[in-house]
Amino acid sequence: MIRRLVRLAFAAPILVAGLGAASGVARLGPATPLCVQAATTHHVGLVIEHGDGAVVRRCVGFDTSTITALAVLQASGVENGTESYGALGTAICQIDNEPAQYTTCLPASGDYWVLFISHAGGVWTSSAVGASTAKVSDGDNVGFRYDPQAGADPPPPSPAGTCPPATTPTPGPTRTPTPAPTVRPTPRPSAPAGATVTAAPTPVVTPTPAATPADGVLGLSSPAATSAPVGRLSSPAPPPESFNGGLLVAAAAAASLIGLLGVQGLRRRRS
Amino acid sequence: MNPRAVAAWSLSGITVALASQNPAYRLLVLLCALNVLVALRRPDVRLRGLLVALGVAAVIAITITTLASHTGDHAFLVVPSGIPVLGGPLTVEAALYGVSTGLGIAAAVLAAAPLSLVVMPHALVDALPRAFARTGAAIGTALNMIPAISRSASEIRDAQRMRGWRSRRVREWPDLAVPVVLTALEGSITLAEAMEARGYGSGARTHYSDQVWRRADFAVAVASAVAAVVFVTLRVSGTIADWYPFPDVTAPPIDLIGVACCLALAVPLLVWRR
Repeated sequence: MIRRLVRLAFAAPILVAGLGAASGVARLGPATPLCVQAATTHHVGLVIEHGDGAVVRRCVGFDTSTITALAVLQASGVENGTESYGALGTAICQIDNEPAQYTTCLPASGDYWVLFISHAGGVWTSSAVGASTAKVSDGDNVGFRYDPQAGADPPPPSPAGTCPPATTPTPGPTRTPTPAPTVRPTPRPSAPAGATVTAAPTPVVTPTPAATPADGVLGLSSPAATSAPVGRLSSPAPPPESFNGGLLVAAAAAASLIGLLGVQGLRRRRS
Repeated sequence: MNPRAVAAWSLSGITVALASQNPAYRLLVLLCALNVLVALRRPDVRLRGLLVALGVAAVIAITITTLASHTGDHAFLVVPSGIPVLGGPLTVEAALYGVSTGLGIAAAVLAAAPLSLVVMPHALVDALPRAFARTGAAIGTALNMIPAISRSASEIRDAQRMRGWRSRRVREWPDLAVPVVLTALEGSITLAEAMEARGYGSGARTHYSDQVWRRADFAVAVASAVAAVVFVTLRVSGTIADWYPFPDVTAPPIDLIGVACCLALAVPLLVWRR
C-alpha cells in the first residue's frame, strides 16, 4: 500500500495539473465559442479560470457513460496544449493560450493548471489523478485553475449554471444558454504554432438549433474517438488475445493445484 | 529430501511471490506451496494454526488497504469525510489491491514454511555452511527456548493456582515471572553442560548421517533456481507485467512463461515422497 501511495504522490503532481510551456505536441485548433452541445445525452460543465481571474465556461456533451477530463477539455474547443507521458498519462501544458509561450510542458517551478472535479453539482475537489485518468459522467463538472505551485490551491468559481438544467430532455431550440460562457476582458496575445484565440471578448451564446447535426460541433458525438489515445495511469493492458490464453492457462493450473489439494486431503482422511 | 534443496525451493518461492504485484502468480505460488506442505510435511505437524494465522494476516491487509486508500473509480461505500484517515469513498479497487497484498504475504510465508514443517530443525542446522555453524546452533537453541519457556510458564501457573494464587493484579505477576526466569536459567545451564559433555566446540564436527544429494534433490533445486531466475529476468525486462488496479480495475496480465515458472515450484510434488 505504501508503494502505491508513493507512486501516487509521485504521479499526482505531474498529472493533476498540466503545467504551462511548449511542446506543441497536441495543440488543438480554435473552435467556435459555442455552448458545445450536440444532440448528446450527457453533459459536463467545464470551468476554466485563468491566472488573471478571467473565467471561461463551456458545456460539453457526449454519448458514452463516462469521459475523461482531458477529453472534456479537448472536446470543448478551447485551445489547449498537451504532452503525452506514456503510461503515466497526458499532461496539460497550456489552456486557452495560458501560458502564452512554453518550452517544457512541466517546468520545475512556476504556475500550472490545477484540475478540479465536481461530482453531480457538488463542491470542487482537487483531483487525485491526472486529467487523462480522471473520469466524469453526466452532470459532473471539470474545473481548471491556473495556479502557482506554492501555496494553497483555491478552487475555481462555482460550476453552477455552466450547463443548462438537466431537465431539458430534447436538445432543441428551447435550450436556455443561461450562463455567459466567456467572460474574457481582453483578447489573449496571439498563440504560437497557429493556435488562435478561442474566446471572443464578448459573450457569444448561440444556442445550437435543433437542425444542426451532432457532427456540426467538433465531432463531439463520438467522444470515444477523442479519448481513445489518451494515456492511462495504469500499466497498459496486454493485447486481449495473449491475455485470454494466459488467463485460461493460469486458471487451469490453479484449478488442478486445488484439485490436487483435494485429492491429498481425501487420501489422508481415508488412511 | 535434502534440506539445502528445500531451502533453495523456499527461496525461489519467496522470490517469485514477491517479485511482482500480480495476484495471478502469487495465487499459483501459494497453491504450489500449500500442496507441498500437505504432501511432504512431517507426520507430527498440524497446518491449521499456520493457515488461520495467514488468513488473519490477509484479512488485516485487505481491511487496512480498503479503509485507508480512497483511490479508484468504483466506490461501494462513502464514509463521511469528517472522520480522519477513514473518511472518503471506499473503493473496489483498493479492496482488490488489498487481496493481492494478502495473497503475497500468504504465498511468501507458505513458501518459507517447509523449512520448519517439512525438514527436521536439526537437519536444517546441519545444512548450514561451516562458517554459519555456530551462529546456526545458537539461533536454533534460542528458538527452541521459546516453546520450552511457554511450557514451563503454564506449568508454573497451574502449580501456583493450586496453591490458591490468583492473577488479578499486576503486583502479583512476579509470583509467576520469578520462577519462570529461574527455571529458564537453570534449563540453559543444563543445556550448556549437556552440550559440553557431548564434546560441543572441542573439535571438528561429525555427523550422525551425511546429507546426500539424490537425483530428486538436484531436480528440485535446479527447477526452483531456474524458475526464480527466469521470473526475475522477465519481470525486469517487462514481459511479466505488474498489476495495478487504479484507477479502474483490470484483469491481471498473465504471461505463459511466468505461469510455467510458478508451476516449476510444484516439482517437489513429483519427485519427493514422504
